[in-house]
Amino acid sequence: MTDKNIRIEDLVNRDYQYGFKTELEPGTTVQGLSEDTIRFISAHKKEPKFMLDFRLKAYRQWLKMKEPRWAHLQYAPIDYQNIIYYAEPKAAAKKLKSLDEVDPELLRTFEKLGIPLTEQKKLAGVAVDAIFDSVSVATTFKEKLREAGVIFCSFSEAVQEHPEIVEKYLSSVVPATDNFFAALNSAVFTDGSFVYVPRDTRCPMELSSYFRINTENSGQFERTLIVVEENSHVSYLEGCTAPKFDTHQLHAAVVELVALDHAEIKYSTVQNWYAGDPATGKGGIYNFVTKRGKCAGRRSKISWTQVETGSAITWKYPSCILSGDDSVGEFYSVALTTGKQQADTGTKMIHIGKNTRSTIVSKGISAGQASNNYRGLVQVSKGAEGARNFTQCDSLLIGPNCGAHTFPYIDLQNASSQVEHEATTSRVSEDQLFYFQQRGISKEDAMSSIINGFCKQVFRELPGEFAVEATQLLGLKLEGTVG
Amino acid sequence: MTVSESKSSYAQQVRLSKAQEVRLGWVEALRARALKAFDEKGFPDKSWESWRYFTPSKLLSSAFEKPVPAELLSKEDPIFAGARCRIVFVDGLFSPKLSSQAPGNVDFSELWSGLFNHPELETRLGRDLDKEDNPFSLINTFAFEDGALIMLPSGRQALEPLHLFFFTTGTRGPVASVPRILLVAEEGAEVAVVARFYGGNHGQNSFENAVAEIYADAGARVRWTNLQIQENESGSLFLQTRAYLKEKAELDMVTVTRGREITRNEIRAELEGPGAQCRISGLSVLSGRSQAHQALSVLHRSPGAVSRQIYKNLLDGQSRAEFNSLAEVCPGAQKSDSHQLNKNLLLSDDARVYSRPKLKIYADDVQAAHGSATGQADPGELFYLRSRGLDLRTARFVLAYGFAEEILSLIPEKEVRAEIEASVKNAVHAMVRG
Amino acid sequence: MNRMLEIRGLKARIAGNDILKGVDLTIRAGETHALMGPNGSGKSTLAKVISGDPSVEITAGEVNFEGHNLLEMEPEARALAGIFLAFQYPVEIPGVNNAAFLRMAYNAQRKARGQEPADPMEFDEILKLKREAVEVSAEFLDRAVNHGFSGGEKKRNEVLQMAVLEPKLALLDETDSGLDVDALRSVARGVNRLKTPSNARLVVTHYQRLLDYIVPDFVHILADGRVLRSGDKTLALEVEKRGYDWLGA
Repeated sequence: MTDKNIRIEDLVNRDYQYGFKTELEPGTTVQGLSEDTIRFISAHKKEPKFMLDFRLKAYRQWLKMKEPRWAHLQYAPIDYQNIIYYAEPKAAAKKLKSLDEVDPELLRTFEKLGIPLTEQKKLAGVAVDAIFDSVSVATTFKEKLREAGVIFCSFSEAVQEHPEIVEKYLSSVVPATDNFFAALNSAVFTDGSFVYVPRDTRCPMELSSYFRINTENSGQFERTLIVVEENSHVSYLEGCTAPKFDTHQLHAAVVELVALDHAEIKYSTVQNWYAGDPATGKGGIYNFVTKRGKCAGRRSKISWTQVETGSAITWKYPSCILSGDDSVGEFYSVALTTGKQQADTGTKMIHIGKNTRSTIVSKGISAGQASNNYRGLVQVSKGAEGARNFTQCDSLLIGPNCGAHTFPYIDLQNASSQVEHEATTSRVSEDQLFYFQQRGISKEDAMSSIINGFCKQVFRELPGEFAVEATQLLGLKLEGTVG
Repeated sequence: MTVSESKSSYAQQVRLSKAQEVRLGWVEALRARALKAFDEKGFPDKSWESWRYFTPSKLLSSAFEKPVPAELLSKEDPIFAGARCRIVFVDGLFSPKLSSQAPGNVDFSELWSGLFNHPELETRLGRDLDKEDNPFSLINTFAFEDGALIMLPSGRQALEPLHLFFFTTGTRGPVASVPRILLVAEEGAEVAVVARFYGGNHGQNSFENAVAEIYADAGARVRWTNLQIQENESGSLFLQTRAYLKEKAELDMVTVTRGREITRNEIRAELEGPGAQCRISGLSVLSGRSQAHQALSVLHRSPGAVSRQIYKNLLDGQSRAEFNSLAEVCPGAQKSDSHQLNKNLLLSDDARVYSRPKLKIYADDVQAAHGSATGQADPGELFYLRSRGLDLRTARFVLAYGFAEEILSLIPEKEVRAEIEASVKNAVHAMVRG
Repeated sequence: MNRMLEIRGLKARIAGNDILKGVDLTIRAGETHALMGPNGSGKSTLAKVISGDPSVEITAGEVNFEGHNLLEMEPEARALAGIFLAFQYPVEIPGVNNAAFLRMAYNAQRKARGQEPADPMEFDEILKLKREAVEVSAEFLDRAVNHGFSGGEKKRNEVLQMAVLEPKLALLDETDSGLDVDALRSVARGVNRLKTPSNARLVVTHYQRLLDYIVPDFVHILADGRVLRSGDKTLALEVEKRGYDWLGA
């Protein structure tokens, strides 16, 4: 019995192929956390005063906060003084006029990750902001986007070039003191992506940010802000990887989305941080992320799609505040945990406006000794007449030693609302795999096929080319079962 | 004296009342352990996951009278009709006068004499004290005044339902009562129990804190009905039920809740033997400011066990209902089959419902599903009924009562079911509007 | 005629219990064999051994298929060599589309033969013909593999797969169980239409009933892990009349 199960698990435990480390001449690094660290970061980035004030206020609040322990997760305490809060490769320190000036080693790194940045090789139809440790290395297609009126740049650049938009929307969705990790991020965040789409504009291409943690012991604290004005639309995708280290690295990002009247934001994530050693659990990323979107306008829509395959621990709940009447929130998630990975992920749908609608589809896959938790809140406020929610949470267990847990929180205060929640649990059995084999199909293809079948409701929400990336990430081939 | 003034002094206060009478060393030792555990734990606040939506702060700042024996009914009262075998408690104290004789084939008695007669119960009473995480359950263990013992030897079937009556009078002011129930159905035994909780009818803020421990040994079958029906919105009832089911044992428990300010039922069923089965179901019909909180957990500790949790809430006024359930499949409990279902019907915009059907699964070959649905009466169904000539109010009544009836139909005793159906019908009738 | 399948001295166990205690059997191209026997005689186990079910442990003997040692081959390699098992209890695979599954299996076979995979359009054509040949409705294809199928639907789906994959040796494991007479006839018609001089069938059944529709050339009675007697189709009728006890089983 044990032998067989190990074989099943082998099918989902593919080697991590992004575990290499780039050797670069080290530049500025700052280890340990204090007001001085924050003043240094802010001064180094030549930030306006409102940014420093914002950071210090968040830091002072953070000192009073306790690290949350309610999630169904187990990990040793984090030493916040041992973290590198700012790591800037020397090659990226000076301001570059064009991509030609970027250190070829950095370009090669991103190319190896499948993210070519150079003019000749750029991904067609996708603009990329590449972030390496604490700094943005390059943003492609900037000019083309500017013609359409879309601003897509690093967060640091936005602070310099568009301080009025940043000041207006920063922390308007995730307050600096929202939670322990958001407060930490607000105090020390280094870079991230910034998107602004003016009214009546459909962003002409997919926008994408790619995050890479390279320096050992460094934390990554990025901040993303996306503001979409009336009648506009954007689709944004983020990807992330990190080298294999024996120590844990902390990733505490904050993402804020704002959608005004009739605006639509589609935010997709393919998360593949290093998960740690599958047998010992050594190393890997602690992915403690706060993502929240505000449907501020009437008939606005925010849709989160996430494929979470990496990280030693994932703690994230991409959420929607449905303030505008008739606004729509969506959350589509696949979370795969293998080895000793732990995930506690889900969403919050806060219905405030009238006739607001939300859909939650969560697919958890757990193998090995991993633990996979869905945690989701659906809240219907008193004034949210006619609010609707549908939630579906499915768990797939592979092998007898993993765990799959579901923790829904439903809080309703409106009699005309309608909320439905369903959950199921299933498994991949030896019998199923043998059935495929008896028809001439290998176990690997059988597993792919079953997992793809399980996830297809989510995969079909991803932008075309990334759906393919996502399935490859799960170590799978699509072969006819999806689509 | 208020409960929250000091945990220990509260403990002293309630404990002393019975201390002189207790001559059972093992019970005293158990109580001492419970008191120590309670001292370490303290009272719940919002940071406790299972007390997130209800913290008994108001209750803990209330003052209570010590219960004294009181007689308010006679043996011939119609309330006892149909309850031939019964044990009656008034303000938590055993009333020999109102109680009947034991039915003969089972040991159905007041708890203290039962504990004297059955020293082997040391392995049953408060068995899981060390993992007890509910402070009110710990309080009951170190402070219970009186209680009921129901014991069925191997293979024995109780010939008729056994009735438990808990009256709270509050004649001299609000009282806190702490009754204890212990049921042991040995191998293959069968029994039906009906427990009725009648709160004070005079607007008194009494507090009943009851614990029921149920042991169903291999192949035993226990049917249990809790009736927590009261027409006003005063007083609080906390009922902690702990059930332990061995191989192929069955527990079928139905709870109907109406009225009171706060009702909190915490049921933990442990399916310890292969093929054990439990069905826990309930209905709350709430109006005004009533709150009903259900904290339910079923632990599948053995393979092939089956569990069903089905709860419905019908809410009007500013009432609140919480369904906080858990099905946990422990490692190795393959072929477990569990299902949780919560349905809520809101009749008012001021009512509020919390639904949290949770799953923890540590085995792969299992069937585990849960569902939760909340909404208002379906407009299509309403229209259908009206097109058949029913006025709006009647149509709403038909749908709301139909919603409730699914749970009432699960009450095993026919007479009890008829009695409750009538009472729920009246309640629903008062709730629907035209 | 050449020997397609040859089993000699086969002993096998499941979960530590000896089930097959020395089985010999030879099947040639064009033949239909019936394997009968009381419950627990090892009939289904033999089908499992041939197809490579990992739950069966082989303790002795050899199994050759067209000159290859089957016991050394992975289950999928056996399938690609032309062995098809119509399961007694076809497993449900939620989420995996039936038509897509068939195309995966079909293309795995083409790949093994060094052919290009069939594209969806091309495969649709093939599927349409096969489907009609074995009397299966198009609606079958849109569903997940066996998921929510009735017992009879599952058996028909097995025959549809058999039609698409055109095996050399088809093992029909209790294909009649759970079927009413009409369904049984329909399934049998499907099987008979797939019969050619170059393929063969091993029909595992408890009852003679199925053999009225799929007529065997040889009948073998298996009891307590051994072939007790072999004969022609009259042996099956004899068993029907007199039960297995008559054979001393």
